Amino acid sequence: MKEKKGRFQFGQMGGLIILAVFITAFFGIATKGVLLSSQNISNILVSASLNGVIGIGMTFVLITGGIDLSVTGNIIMTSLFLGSMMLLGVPWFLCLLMALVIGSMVGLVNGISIGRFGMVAFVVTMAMNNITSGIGKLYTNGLTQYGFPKIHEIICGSLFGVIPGPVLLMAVVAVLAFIILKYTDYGRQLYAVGGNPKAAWMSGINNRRIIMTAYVISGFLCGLGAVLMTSKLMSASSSMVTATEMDAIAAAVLGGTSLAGGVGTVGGTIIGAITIAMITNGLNLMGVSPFAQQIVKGVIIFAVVAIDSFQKSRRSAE
Amino acid sequence: MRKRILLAAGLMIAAMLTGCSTGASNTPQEPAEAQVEAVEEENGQESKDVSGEPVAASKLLEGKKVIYINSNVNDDWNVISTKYLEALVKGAGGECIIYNAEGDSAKQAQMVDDSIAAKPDVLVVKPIDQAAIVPALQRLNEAGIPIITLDMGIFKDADVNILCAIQTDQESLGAINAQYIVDKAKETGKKAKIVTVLGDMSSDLAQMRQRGFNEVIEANAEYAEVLAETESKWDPSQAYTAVKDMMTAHPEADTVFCCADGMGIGALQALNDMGKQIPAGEEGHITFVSIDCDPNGCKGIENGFIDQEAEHNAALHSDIAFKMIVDYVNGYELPEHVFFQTTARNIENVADAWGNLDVKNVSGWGWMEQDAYVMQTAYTE
Repeated sequence: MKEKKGRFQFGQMGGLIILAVFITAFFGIATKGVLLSSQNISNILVSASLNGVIGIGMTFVLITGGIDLSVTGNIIMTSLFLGSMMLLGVPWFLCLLMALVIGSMVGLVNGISIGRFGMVAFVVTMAMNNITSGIGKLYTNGLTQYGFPKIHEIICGSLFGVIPGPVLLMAVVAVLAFIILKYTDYGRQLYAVGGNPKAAWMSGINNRRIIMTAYVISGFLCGLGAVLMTSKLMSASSSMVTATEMDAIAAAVLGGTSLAGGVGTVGGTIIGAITIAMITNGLNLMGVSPFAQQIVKGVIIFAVVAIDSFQKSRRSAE
Repeated sequence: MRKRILLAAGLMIAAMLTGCSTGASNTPQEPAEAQVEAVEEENGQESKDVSGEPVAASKLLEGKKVIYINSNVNDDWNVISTKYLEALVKGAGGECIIYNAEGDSAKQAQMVDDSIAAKPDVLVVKPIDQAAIVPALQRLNEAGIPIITLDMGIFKDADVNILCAIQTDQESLGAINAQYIVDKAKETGKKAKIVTVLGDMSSDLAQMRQRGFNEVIEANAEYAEVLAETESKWDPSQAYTAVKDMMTAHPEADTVFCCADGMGIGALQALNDMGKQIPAGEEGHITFVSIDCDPNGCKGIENGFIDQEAEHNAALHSDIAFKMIVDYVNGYELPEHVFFQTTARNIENVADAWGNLDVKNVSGWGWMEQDAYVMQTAYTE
């Protein structure tokens, strides 16, 4: 049984790596090598960083068998509050801290609603998406905020002029998340709750706490995402990000996370986020028309869903 | 009587055919630059003797209900347009209900249907899709609710009775920027290499801006060339990525055309991160042209990072809509169209741009002094 599971996971990751290599080769040739230039690799990784960070939070939630559709609203609201605080002259470091707290609080509300009161994740987080983006817009009257202190730019600056800040941040988050999932009791319990909630409960796991914590992690990473985005754009607006949750879900599922719960890895999500960023970047470099880009991305999302479906049918056959 | 109707109809048809440019003011306090002559006449605006006593300005819309269905109250332009119209209607004693279609044309059509039950005295709508909105507007016609379209019209042959279309020439917003680039290339003798940041290409507005721009560039192919275009869906973070991708693929690009200031903030930040955000007049400056001239656009010009903005005046649209609503409810006839050309804003005239208004105090603006549409209803302060 163990052997079968191991072989399956290898196959999943192997498939993703093959897809990434194929995409790299295709766009590498089609763009006459521009895709693999150092500047462009940096572009891809920076572009993947927000999706990667949010995707990791989404992976935690998906492993529990839930979903977090509130990430766009959470990022927008937190960004607008963060921007306001900076413009009001609140010390910069405190602003960052507050952004993480605000994001986590949204996650906590989601977690309590879903974990403690058993409300449907899809509906709760969708409603929270509306509530948070609405609060942000109401607070700022929907107007763009800019003129942030210069120090805020350093988050998206480069370390030693080589590694972009967002990429570094994504790597740190990925390592921490990997350790949590792989080497802590919480990680093991998360898989157990997502894989078979009843069995997990019967073995003494506090399902409610595990689920709540997963949403808080997702909310915390949304707060981090808000810090990243406001630093990247040096502004905050209610239109600064769109449909982030869809990209995050696509990255996680492409990376092998099952929408049914119980399965998922941080490494897979990061590769998924980079693959999506590479596809967007490659199509942009090739100058593919926006309409054709929609088709290509749609086909990839379709393929992602098909993979997940295939995975589920194999699991049930086993 | 018949002659008068024919005369009025003739004037309106003339206005529709010729259009009307505006020299509207960019601040509520100051009169506009007189860029256009005889605006009233061109608009087909009919003068009429005022009957009855003048009404206090604060009671002009007393007991009247206005619904404004915006396309997407998600960026500075639309926020200001919405807040300003709301403030004007409320300031005149009326009720103003705002709907936000969130960029979804089906949702917008449903909102139009929903508004029938609310029985507004006038419905103002900024269509997302020139065709998709038509059936809902036809139902509004059947319900006898008058319609004003704002910024975007509906397609020409639609069988819909519109009270007035207050409309920016979206193609001219692109065209005026393209012409600037071509003229600059002629002046310097260096062919412009352009990358374009597009809006949401499922909207007519984005397509028209792109078309207006590209038509001028294609007609002047020896002076300018579009190297790449990327859709960014009005999203500054997507614009950021788009500019980085396009500038990497085409390092020879020396010009950026951004289809809206809402995305411009991301596009400029991308240039900054690539070390290419250099003020105008200095070596390595990337020519940057955009649309709207909102507060962010004004700041970009003042900092020397934006060379030209095609002004797309949110406040002016709302002011005209308000004055038309007042005239309509007081029994005056309205022109079928108020059709805007745009004004090019650059470092020399950016101080006059609408984006310099105090956008945090929209309700304190009062009425604009502009000559694009003159209110016919008599009133007292």
